[in-house]
Order: sequence, then structure tokens, then C-alpha cells
Amino acid sequence: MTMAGSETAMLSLAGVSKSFGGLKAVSDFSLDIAKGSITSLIGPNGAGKTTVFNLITGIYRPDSGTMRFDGASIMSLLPHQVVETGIARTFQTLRLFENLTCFENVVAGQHCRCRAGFIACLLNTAARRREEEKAFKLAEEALRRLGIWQFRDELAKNLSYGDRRRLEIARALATVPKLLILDEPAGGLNEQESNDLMGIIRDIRDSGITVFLIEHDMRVVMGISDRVAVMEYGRKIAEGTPEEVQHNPDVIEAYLGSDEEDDEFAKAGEAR
Amino acid sequence: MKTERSRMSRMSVSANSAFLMVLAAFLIVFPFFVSDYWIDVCVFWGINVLLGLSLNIIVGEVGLFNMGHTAFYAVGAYTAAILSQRFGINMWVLMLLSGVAAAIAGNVLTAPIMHLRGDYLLMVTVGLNEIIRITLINNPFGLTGGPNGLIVLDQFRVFGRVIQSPIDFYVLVWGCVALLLFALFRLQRSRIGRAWNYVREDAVAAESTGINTRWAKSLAFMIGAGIAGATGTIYATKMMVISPDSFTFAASVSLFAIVILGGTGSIPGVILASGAMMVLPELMRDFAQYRMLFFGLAMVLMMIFRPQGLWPSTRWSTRVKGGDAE
Repeated sequence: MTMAGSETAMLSLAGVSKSFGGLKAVSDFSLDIAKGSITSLIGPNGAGKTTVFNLITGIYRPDSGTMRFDGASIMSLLPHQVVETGIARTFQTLRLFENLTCFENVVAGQHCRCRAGFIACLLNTAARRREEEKAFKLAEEALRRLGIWQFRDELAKNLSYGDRRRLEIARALATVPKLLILDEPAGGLNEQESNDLMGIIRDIRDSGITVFLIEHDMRVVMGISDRVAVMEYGRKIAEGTPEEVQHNPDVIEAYLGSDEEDDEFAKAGEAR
Repeated sequence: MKTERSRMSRMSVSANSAFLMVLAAFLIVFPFFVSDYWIDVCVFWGINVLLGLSLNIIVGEVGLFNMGHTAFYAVGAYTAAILSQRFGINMWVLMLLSGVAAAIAGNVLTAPIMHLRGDYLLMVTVGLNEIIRITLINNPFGLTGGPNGLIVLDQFRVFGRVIQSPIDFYVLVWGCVALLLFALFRLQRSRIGRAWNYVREDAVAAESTGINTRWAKSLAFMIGAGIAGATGTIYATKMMVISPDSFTFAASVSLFAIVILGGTGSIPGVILASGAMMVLPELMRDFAQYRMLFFGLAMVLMMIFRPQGLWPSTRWSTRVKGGDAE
């Protein structure tokens, strides 16, 4: 199944399983994500996509299998350690620091790149100030990149939905990741907003960051993905280029029962 | 960008600094016009400010409901009293040592409960407070003097001058408040202060953005407990007698109330609220039997008409005004 060799894989999952009580949320899931690619994970609701993300980011521990990122195992890392190794994420349901400004939200990403401890902060050492200046600079870059720099002093909760989505991506980018994991970034966005989003995601990829996303909007998935993996009932049922996946009978069946989904696939094909 | 940022923070900070300047002016002038009695009242106000600010780190900055803060205060006071009695160590050194002892207690005692949230944590810290108080009453190894407590005979000394009179303590206590305010100011504007706020806002998001939430919480508990412990030394030398009666659950509740009534996370709020808690009862001595009634009424009215506190944290409100600025 795996196309990219493990040397060029940014993230490599092999035989990963996770059960909650009697429910097998993810079973024997394997996937290689090539460096510099955009890979999408799709599947019906409840297929286990977000669980895969939570396993990668250390929120859950897998029951079995291996997960390697950039050549090193990330099996036993805590979520903040996963971020330190270079994996940043966004959430399906936005999780912003609502009562803090956008700037403060994004600076959070730089926390793990700074080292100043209690004493350094108390004495306000030169090293601390330098490091903070750099952190602020990177936060500014992230905000500008997402086009929300003008909202920097606005509280996160006061932003429009689309801008809040952007803010969360900016916060993830501020961690200077090698791999960016987006959980339904186009969820709730209108057509114009998701077009913009596709541009942003391509830009991010072009700047050298590998992107891995969950998405339901087939237009987005088929429009930007280099590779698409399909999940159903916790298993991977298909993987390939968008065209391959679109014509895969298993995938069509997984999505079938509804002609609408078929139409969506067809439309997405035309959009390409 | 830098100028933009500092302009914004200047707007929100200006009200706070105006408050602090007025307070400083008041505190400098005040002792010249009043009796020792009122100076003493202000000494206890200052002690409560120190305790309130230390608890504010835990409750206000990180959002951890700690209703057993007096436990750490007790650890500090007893550490100072015991070491002073047995070894006659200098009080300034003891202040440091009792701060460290309380910080260690803060770290060790809260380590197993650090993952708890909201009211669950609150319940356990109430228990913590009681465990410490009952331990003190039980006089372990004959160290704590049981229900009678301990006598502290030594005092702080500055170049041979013994800190004894109300005005000496007044200067000592409010000097400590000034130092603490400076330290808090520094911390709030550093990655540590920001990390605390991220944890308060959304611990899961903070962890997934690369913040070691456990470290942030532990650090807050250690610093908060340490300051309370150091304050315990001042209290011990001021009172000269410490007993478990000073470290009750009720004392923890009133500290918690100071932070909440003042405006969670707000430094001026803590100062105002602890002043209200200390000074108003003194003013109403003639109505002593109605004191709790007034207190309860004030609480209810506050919650109805001003749930954000006496002086809400600027972090949570003022900055919005400058949001549109480009």
C-alpha cells in the first residue's frame, strides 16, 4: 500500500490500532505521508479520522503499531512534545484562547521554541528579550501570512468564523512545524472562503511544510491533494491520487447509498 | 509592530498604573495622620494583599480553583517558627527558607491532583487545607506545639534595628508588596505569564500548541505557595504566636473570595478586595454581631450586579477597545 519509501516519508504510521472499550476506532491503520506533499484523509462520519489525528498528536496512545515522524518514533510523546518535534495541528471544533488577543493566540505557538525559565523572566535577561523578539516576529509573520494581521489586538472571540479558522492555522504555523495537521479546515466555510483556504494550504506546502488534512468538502480535497487516503469503520480502504480514489469501487461504495455523494465526486472531478 | 503593541498595552495598563500610584501616595501619607491601631489594620491588609496576590497567580492567572491556600501559608509560618525556635536562624534567611519549604509543599502536595479541573480540584484543596491544619493540631514529633501553637520570639532586624512597632511592620509588609508587584509584572509579560493564561483559556489547546500544561500549573502552584509561605514568616513575627486557629478553612475561603470579588486575575482588584475584607469589618466594629450578615449581603449583591469583580482584569476587557486600530 505504501507508495513513498520510508526515507522520504515525513510521517509513517504502521499497523496503528486504538480501541475505546469494545469499539475499534482505528484498526491496523498504515499510511506514509511524503515530505512536501498534501495528503487528505477522507471517509464517512465516525470512520476514525479524528482519532488518527489524536493518535499522531499524542492525545491518545495507540494500543499497537508504530508511528515515526521525521525518522524518530513519536509513540510515547506527550502532546506538547509532539509539537516540539514539529507537528502542529488545528481542531475540528475550533479551540482558540477566546479571551486573549489574536496576537497572544499566535505567540502561543512560539512557547515551545523559547527557553526562558522563571529566573530569566524575573530578571528580564537580554537572552529572554532577544528570544521574545524573535517569537513576536514569527507570530507577526504567521498572522500576515493568513491575512489577519489587522485583527492582532482583537480578542479571538470577536472574530468572524472564517477568520477564527485562519487564526487557528496561524497559531499552528507559529510553532514552525514540519508537518501541519488540519482537521476539517474548510468546515463551515463558504465557497469563496474555501477557495482562499485552498490557496493558503498550497502556499504552506510550497514553503516546505508537509500538510495532512481531514476534509469533507470534496471540492477542496480533490482540488489540492497530492494523495488521498480513505477510511471506513476504522480501516483504510483506499489510497492513491485523487483520480484513483474517485474511481475506486470500494470508495464509491463507502460513500454510496446517497446519490448526492456521487454527484459531489463528479462535480469535484469537473472542478479539477 | 513593536510600537503598535506597546501602544495597546499602554492603554490597558494606564488605569492600573494610575491605581497603583494613587495607592502608593495614600500609603505614604496615611501613617502620618492615624493612630498605631489603624497602621496595624493596614499591616494586616498588606499581609492579605500578599496572600491574595499569591493565590491570584493560581486562581486568576492559571484558573486553578484552590480553596486551600492557607495550607501553604501555614507551612511557611510553622517552618519559620520551628527553625527560629530550634536553631535561631536569622529571620530574613527564614523568610527565604519558609518560602522554599512552602513551594516544595505546593509542588509535592498538588502533584497527584494536578490533572483535576474546576470544582473537583477545589474540593481536594479544601481537604488539603484541613489535613495540614489537623496535622498541626496533632503535634507531630512534638514540632508544632499542638492546639496551642508556637511562640516566635525572634524578629526581623535591619542594621541592628528590630522590626517591632506597627510602622516598622507597615514598611516591611508594603515593601514586600511592592517587590511582589514588580515580580508579577515581569512574569505576566513573559512566556510564563502567557503560558498560564493559555492554560486558563483552554488547557487542551495549550497542550496541543506546545505548552507543557503540567509544568505551567506546577510552576504556578510553587510560586503561589512559596509567596504565601514567605508571607507566613512575616505573620509569625507580627503575631509572635501562631496556632492552627489562624489557618482554618474559613481563612482560605476569605482569600478565595478576595480573588473572586476583586476580579479574577486583576492585581488592583486583589488589593481593593483585601482592603475591603480587612478595613470594612474594622469600620463596622459597632455592628460586630451583624458583620457576617453584611458580608453575605455584599457577596450576593456583588454576584448580581458586578460578577466580573470590583476591578476586572484589564486583560479580559480593556484591550477590546483598541481592536480596530491599524
